[in-house]
Amino acid sequence: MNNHKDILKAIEDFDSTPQGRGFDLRLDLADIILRRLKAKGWTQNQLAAKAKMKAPQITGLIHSATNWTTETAGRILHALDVKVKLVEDVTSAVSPDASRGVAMTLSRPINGHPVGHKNGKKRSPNHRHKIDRALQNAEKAQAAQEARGR
Amino acid sequence: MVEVTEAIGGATELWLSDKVWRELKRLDSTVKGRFLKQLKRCCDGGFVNYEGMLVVCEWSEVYRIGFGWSLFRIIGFYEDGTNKTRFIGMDAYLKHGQKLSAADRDRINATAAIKKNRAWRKVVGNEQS
Repeated sequence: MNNHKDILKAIEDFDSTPQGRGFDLRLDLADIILRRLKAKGWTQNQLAAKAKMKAPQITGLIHSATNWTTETAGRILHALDVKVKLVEDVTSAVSPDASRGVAMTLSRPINGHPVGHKNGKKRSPNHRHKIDRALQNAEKAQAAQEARGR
Repeated sequence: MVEVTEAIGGATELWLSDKVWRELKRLDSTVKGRFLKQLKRCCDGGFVNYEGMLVVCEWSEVYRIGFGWSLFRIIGFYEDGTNKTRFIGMDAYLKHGQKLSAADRDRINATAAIKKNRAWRKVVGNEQS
C-alpha cells in the first residue's frame, strides 16, 4: 500500500463483500445520528435518554462498531424524529467504481421540510402531473405551429 | 524532515507519512478495507464534523483518529492555515488498552514536535512543497 489508488482498491475490494454492503448501512446510520445530534444540539447522553438506551450503545452506533438491529435503528430514528427509507444505489450499478453511494436516505431532510416540500411550502401532490401536462401542451402548441407553417 | 503523500481527498484531504502507510499495509485485508472505508467517509464529510467522536484532540493540537470496532489509530494534525481542510497523518499504531500507554504518549509528543517545528513536507509526485 503506497498511494491513494491502493486505498481505493482496498475499499473497492471490501465493498464487493457482503460485509461491505452491511457496513455501508452502519456508516449511513452513524452519519444520520451525527447530523441530527448537531442540528438539535443534543449530546449523546441526551439521545440515549430519549431512546431509552445506554450512552455506550449510542457511541457504538456512531463508531459503526455495533451490528444493530432494525429495532435499535427504529428507536434511535424515532428519538431523533427522522424517517428513513432504504433506496437502491443506482450509481453503483452504472459505475462499479463508485466508492460511496446512497444506501439510506433521509425522507425528512435536515432543514425540517419533508420530501415533497420546497422552501417550507407544501407542493401539490399532483405537481408531477402538472409538469407533464405543461410539457404535453407545449408539444401540442409546437406541432400546431409547425402545421400552420406548412 | 518527514515526507507525506496524499492518500484520500474530500472535504478534508488526508496526507500520510511512510510510517502510516506501512502500518496500514500490515492490517488484515478486511480490517484495512473497513477502516479505510470509514476513513474515506470522514474525509468526504470533513473531519471537523466528526471531532469529539471519531477525531479526538489529544493535546498540543494533535488529533487521534480511531473507530470503536478496531484498535488501530492514526495520529496527526491539521495543516496550519487550511481551516482544517487538510490533515497530516504522522503516526499509526495498534493500541493495547483503554488508557494511553507511555509509548502512546511519546508518539503524540513526537507528532506535536514535528508540527511545532514544521519538520514535514508534502510530496506530490516528484514535486515537494
